[in-house]
Amino acid sequence: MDLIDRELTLSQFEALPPEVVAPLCEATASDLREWSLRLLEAVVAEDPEAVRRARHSLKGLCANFGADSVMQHAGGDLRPPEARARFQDCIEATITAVLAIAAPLIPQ
Amino acid sequence: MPGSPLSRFAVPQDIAAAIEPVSPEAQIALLERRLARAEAARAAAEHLLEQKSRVLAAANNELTARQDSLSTSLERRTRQLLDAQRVAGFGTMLWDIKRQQLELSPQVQVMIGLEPGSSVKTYRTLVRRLLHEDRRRMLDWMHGELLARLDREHCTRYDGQPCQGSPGPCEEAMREYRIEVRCPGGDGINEGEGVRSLCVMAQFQVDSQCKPAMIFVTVQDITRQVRADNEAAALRTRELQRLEDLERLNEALLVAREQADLANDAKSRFLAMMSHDIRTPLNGVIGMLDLFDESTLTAEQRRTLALVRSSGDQLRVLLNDIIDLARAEAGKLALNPGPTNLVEVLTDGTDFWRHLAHEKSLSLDIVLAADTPTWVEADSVRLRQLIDNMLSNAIKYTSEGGVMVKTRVLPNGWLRTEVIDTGIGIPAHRRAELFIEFNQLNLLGSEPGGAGLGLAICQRIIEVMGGRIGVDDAAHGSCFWFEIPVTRIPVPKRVANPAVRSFAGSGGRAPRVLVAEDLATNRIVVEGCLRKLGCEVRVVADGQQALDAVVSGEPFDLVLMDMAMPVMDGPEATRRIRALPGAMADLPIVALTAFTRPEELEPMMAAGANDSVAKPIVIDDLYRAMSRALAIPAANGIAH
Repeated sequence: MDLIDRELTLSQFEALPPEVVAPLCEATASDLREWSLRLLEAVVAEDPEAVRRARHSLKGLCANFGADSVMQHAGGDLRPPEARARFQDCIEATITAVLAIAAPLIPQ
Repeated sequence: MPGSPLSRFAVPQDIAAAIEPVSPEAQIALLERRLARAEAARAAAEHLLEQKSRVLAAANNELTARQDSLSTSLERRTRQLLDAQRVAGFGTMLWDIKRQQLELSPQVQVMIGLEPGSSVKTYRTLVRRLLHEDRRRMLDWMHGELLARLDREHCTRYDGQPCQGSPGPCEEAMREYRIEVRCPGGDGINEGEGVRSLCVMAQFQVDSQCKPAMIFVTVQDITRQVRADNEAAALRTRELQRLEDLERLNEALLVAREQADLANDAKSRFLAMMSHDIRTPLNGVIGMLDLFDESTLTAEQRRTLALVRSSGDQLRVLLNDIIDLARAEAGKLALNPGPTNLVEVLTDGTDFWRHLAHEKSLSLDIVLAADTPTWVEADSVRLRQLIDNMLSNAIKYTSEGGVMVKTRVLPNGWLRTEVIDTGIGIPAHRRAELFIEFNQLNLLGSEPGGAGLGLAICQRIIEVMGGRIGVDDAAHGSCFWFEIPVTRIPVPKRVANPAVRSFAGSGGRAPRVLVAEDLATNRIVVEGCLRKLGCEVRVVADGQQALDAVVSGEPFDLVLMDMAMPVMDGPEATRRIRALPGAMADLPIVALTAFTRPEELEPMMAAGANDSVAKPIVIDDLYRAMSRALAIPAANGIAH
């Protein structure tokens, strides 16, 4: 499974004013990290409402880039430490992939 | 002396001697010779006689032996014939017309109940052995048909010419006379019981003048055949009767079915109509409940409000189920397949019930097999409905332990999803009842709520999908499962349409849009899209800030409201805006949501949102939704 939908991601960035590409990249990285962390905290705390909320936010974020891999990890059992580690690896890889696509569009 | 009488008796030498003078010695010698010849002749005669006697004796012996053999053979064949008659239930009679003598084979005597060897001189003896009601018929047959033949002067040959006086058998001689009669007796199965049926067949034996000389009669025991025929006839009659009964029953069933179908159609129409009509005001009632400011209520009032809200929600779920069921019964439960993110549907569905599971201290886990496809062609709404119903039941009927959702792909490519609980379990003999509408098993002594429609609807949905649904034992509870055919598809091309339209330059002023969105990423995306559409934008991070911005009097033309936000969510903020005085209450509101189900959107729509846009935000979709909400034709600018 691809980390993100490259075509969708590119078209999303291209549809926006060039000046927002860089802030969008920063916000994307920040939101993905923040909400993945919240999800893991909610899983550890066994707080179902917080889990649901975090997953929903991640879903909204990932929809912008077709990041289905993140959602597949987020939907699985994240209680085992190795699952959490894989999830975090996936988040970082997704951020990298988004930045790689957006980088050429950032005005010099 | 030839020609004399002497020459007939004497040899020539003797004659010569007789006519010559003979001395006494010569005469003696002559006599001795004669004597010797006579002796020889006698001896020869005796020898011949002895030989003849031997030949005769041998011939006699041979004849005697052959006669014995023939007698033995005849006796054996007679015995065989009688045995055959006995085994076959078959006997013969011979009536010598000229001598008026009747001969019966032993088997006939047995058949009519006489001792074998009994003396029977007339046919009347035989007739008296029959059942009383058959005697007259037998006599009529004998006198009217059989004996009448004896009085005829003419008979007819094969060529139609009278045969009186002509030799050879005629048509009459070949004719068989037949009658069936009965006498008391058994059939060898139930000895001494019942009636014995006999088939009597007669044929004349004629002399060379074609005059009847004897009547040859065969008698056959046909009791079993008659009984079998009678039983077969009775069986046929019963079968015909049964067939008629079945036809009548079938006709009645058809009529009843037509009536039931009509009644069912009427019921379905009534339910669908009433449910729709009830649902609309109910949504209004539930929506109004949310307008209460709970901070101003007493504890008792809050409890009452919670109870009313809970009852309203239950009623809404019930109405939705009834509408679905009515639609299914009307054959209108259609699928709307499309690209579906299976993983999302399953995880969202599970997350939806996580809160309830937590309240009951139950674990709720989901395990997706590695080969679970992410994207499939399916009806996501119905798929989610299946998950919701199964999870709702599992949590409802489980008091400790937990619930697990498992999904895997079967060898035939179908998707199998299981919802496994640690609940009370279901006896095997009652599992079929689970899928009957309005039926509850009452396994807990009292049902924990619900109308007993969920699984019935699931079954209807699965039927339409062409899959299977069922329930099995789990290690500590039940395993509800469904299997459906799914088609994997590649990731859909979600190409955002570059903005080719704009509200700017349409003659009106740029619309001023308030965006309420908590995620920075989405705020940037939405703001970027709106600016490309020529809008003025103000962005806030939650529903409370959005409400404050509207109340502040800032002249917004439209609000884009995310549903899930901290502090105050989208539906609550929308309701509060709608409750504001004056023109503020009419501000167009478009929901932004990552939810996919209409039911999930319903809180926003019930709260008063005008329209919705799904995430990811596609600028063209956003443009069209805003145009609708602002009540202007797309691409025509703002009508202020």
